[in-house]
Amino acid sequence: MTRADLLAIALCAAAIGGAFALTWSSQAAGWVEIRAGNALVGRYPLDEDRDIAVHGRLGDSQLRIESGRVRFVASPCPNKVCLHAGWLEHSGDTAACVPNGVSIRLVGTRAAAVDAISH
Amino acid sequence: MPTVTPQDRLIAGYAALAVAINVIESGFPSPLPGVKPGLANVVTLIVLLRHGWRAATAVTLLRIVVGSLVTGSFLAPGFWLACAGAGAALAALALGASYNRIGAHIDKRWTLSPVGLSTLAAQAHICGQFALARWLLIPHPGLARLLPPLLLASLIFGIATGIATQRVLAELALAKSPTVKPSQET
Amino acid sequence: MTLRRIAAALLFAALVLWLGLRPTHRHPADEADPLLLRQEFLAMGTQVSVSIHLATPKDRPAAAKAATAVEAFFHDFDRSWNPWGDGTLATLNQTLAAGKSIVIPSPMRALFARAWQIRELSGGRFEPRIGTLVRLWGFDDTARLPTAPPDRANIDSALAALHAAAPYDESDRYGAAIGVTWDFGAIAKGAAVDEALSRLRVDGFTDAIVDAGGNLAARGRRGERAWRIAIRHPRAELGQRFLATLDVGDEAVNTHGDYERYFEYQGQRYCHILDPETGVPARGFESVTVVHADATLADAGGAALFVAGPEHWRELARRLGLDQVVTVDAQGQVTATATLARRLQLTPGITAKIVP
Repeated sequence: MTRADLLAIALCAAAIGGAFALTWSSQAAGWVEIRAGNALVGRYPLDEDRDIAVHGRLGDSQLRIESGRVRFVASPCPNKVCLHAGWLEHSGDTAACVPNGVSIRLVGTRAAAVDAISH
Repeated sequence: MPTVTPQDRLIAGYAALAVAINVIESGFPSPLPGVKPGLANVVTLIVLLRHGWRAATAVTLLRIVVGSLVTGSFLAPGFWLACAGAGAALAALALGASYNRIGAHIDKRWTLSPVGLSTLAAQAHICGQFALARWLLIPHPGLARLLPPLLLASLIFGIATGIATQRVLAELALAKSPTVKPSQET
Repeated sequence: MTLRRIAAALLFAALVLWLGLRPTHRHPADEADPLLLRQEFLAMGTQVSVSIHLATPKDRPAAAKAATAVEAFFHDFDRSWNPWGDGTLATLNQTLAAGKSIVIPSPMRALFARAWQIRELSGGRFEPRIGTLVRLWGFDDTARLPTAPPDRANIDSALAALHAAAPYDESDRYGAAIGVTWDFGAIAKGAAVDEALSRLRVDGFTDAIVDAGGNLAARGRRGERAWRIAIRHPRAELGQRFLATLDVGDEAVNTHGDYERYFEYQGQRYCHILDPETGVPARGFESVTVVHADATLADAGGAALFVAGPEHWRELARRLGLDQVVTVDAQGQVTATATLARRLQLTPGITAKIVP
């Protein structure tokens, strides 16, 4: 093996390491933070399926954690905008039942790709 | 009437060998259908180093076409994947050989031996195949995760086949000049 | 000899694997980042989020205090500027409804004047006196959305009253103007966000984002990198989460869309952005995003562009001084101004038409 060989192999190895780092880092979220009336009332991991009832101004909002995602499944508000937000699965995703004063936010084990979403 | 030259026989012989390796290799399982370690590139490398670039290209082309005919995958995705892989490998070998020609003038220790060439060719082979698979055959972003392990495997294969090539070349050199004493095992 | 080489190769492989599988420390998750404070609360009918980048972790308590002050500010601001209820603006509106003229309190005059200026520049497409129509359509209450459009007759009479109403001369008096309800819904969040960031700056925090339900503005940077903002795709439920992302400096990114406050009736979508000319919800766009250093202008201007529609928005944007705009029309076609297109990173698969 010549020096050029070793250099070539080292460069390939470095590139492979970089490729691993780039492609194998996941953006999946780890937990959901639940707030009622602006106070943190719960923090649950997303890797365990469960149903959660959150008591708010109008009554109980129902959340479901399933397959690493979370969503509102029932809420005492008249228009169910919170339900229409659907499944949240990425770090930084948020949804809120404004009339009931209940909001959820996903927090992750890896960095969120963006700091805020304009919508 | 065209005559068959010794060169033709040489190319044919090598191509047959490469096809045989290819066919055996096609029996191996692979995480990505059609993406193979490229063991037949050993033949390409040997031909390149002993008989030049044109011969290497000829052998490779023959290997792919005949190999696909034999395995019944002519013009199938596997065929195009093989083309992509071989094309990329040939390009890498050409670059490596050019580098060697320049590098030899500067410092002998900085030329690429068959090990380095084989490694680069193997990596290029995977990259070429993956590029085709990712952009034309399976445009799924999740595919990217398969690339690093494939590259890692081909890095190891490339080094191993490079070493094997070196041995073969040494034996061939010995066979050519039988008056030379067989060298000690190093 | 060969054995040594194989051993070396395996060692290399192990090294490579180890390098690749190490957790990336450069960008810790927000929750684990000791240099990021994030506080969220409900206000102005939406989720508000304050993100502050800290120079040192020791600043965290002071930053939390500053963020709490921002929350208090938002509640006050909401009470003052809510067109309904019993706050300052609501009382003014009730006075107008009774047929009397109003005296605008001096802390409110600046926004009244600014809103009017934008109204004039936009040819009335942004109209701060549109509250009566908003309530008629039912978009005044975030807790309650309607299920059907109001009667055409009611729309017409509200429109007539609006079009007949006296203009505002940017003084401290207005009226009498029956049928006029001042509603700053399309400008308030922008104004609030800029004001909140000023207060954070006074408290010593110059690297922050204040995000009021997607109407956001940023200042400074997040440490080594710029703040990174994504623009939500107007039809995210169809697959793509984001339309694009971009790095921002001291500027606002404000999006108006038809996908958050709307109702569907007989197959038609009625969104909350009303056209002051026709009295019905604007059509033609799924979303309009404006990037501008002035969050108030980005908010009101963006609303005006949404109303202007795909045919007239570019001309109106020029008049308003907005040269960084990206729109998505009802067919899903993305169009961006050249200035914005240069810095916008579109999600792969999305192509944008670029206009000068």
